[in-house]
Amino acid sequence: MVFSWVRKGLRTGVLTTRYPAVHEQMPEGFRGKPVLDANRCLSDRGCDACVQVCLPSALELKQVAYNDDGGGSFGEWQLTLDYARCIACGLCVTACPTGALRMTDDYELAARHREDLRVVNMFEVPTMLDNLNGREKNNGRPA
Amino acid sequence: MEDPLDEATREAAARLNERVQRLFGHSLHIRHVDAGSCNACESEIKLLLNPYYDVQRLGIFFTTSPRHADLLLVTGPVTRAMEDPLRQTYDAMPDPRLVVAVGACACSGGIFGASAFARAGVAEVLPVDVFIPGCPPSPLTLIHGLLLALGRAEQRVHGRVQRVREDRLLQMFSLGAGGTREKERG
Repeated sequence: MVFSWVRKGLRTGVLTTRYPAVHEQMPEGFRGKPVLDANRCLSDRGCDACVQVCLPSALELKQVAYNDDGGGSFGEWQLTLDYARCIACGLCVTACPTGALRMTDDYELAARHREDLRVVNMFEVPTMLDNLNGREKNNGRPA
Repeated sequence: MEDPLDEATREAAARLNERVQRLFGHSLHIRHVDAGSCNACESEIKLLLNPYYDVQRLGIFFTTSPRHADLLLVTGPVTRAMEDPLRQTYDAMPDPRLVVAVGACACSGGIFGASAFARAGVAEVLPVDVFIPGCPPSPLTLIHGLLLALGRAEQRVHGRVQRVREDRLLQMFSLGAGGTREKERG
């Protein structure tokens, strides 16, 4: 009897498989990881549409530095996208006026460290003086 | 990202990790603890056992006793009431053991966390090996996270700090012209 079990086991072979490393085609409308194209983002021009609609505060915009000569909105702004808080509702994508935010179907979000789930974008807002010099109009070069 | 560990510690950790993974082989037993979850994560975890996702083909099983488990799967932001039971479950598990935080709440506290009644995630209570975000994470995300904990999958998400203005300037002009402003600032 034992021999028949062994024979059956050997005949069956290994049943476990390796993880399929192919990218699974997700169904239509699947919302995976949202990504931010920071070069199209207008956070440094006073836009906070995505931050306003974000329900779990996964998107946070805060001022981290102030320019001496400017004050107000001038200085350095930091837009953080925290995947550990994100619920992938997609509201930020509909709110974004420039299409900088978009949903992807990327589902492989697991990470070993909490910090790996945080994408920080630092925006340096030009000083008032730069604006007066027309530096912005000249694409950042002094007038 | 700045790594807080020095070279020797990192090397020792990598060696230990390798040994742990050899001990687990291709088999893993999971004990799941609901630490104040809304049950959305549970319904996704339940799907892992259906014929479509079928984690048992990967050698991953669920057990009912922490004494039989290699991995502690935690959902929810860890409420006051569940903090002690969670610690007791962890203490009852034999070494080596892994902890995986499942869902936005377990990773960061989510919408419930960091209040008078709940902690801001599992990492405040236990050392977490893998974070699986999502609200709830899809079964494929869960499988990826579990295999990441076993060293059988690669991490795809890497947090970063990027300076956007610099990038924009580099994009607008040639490299040299864009860098001058940043260099002035030091």
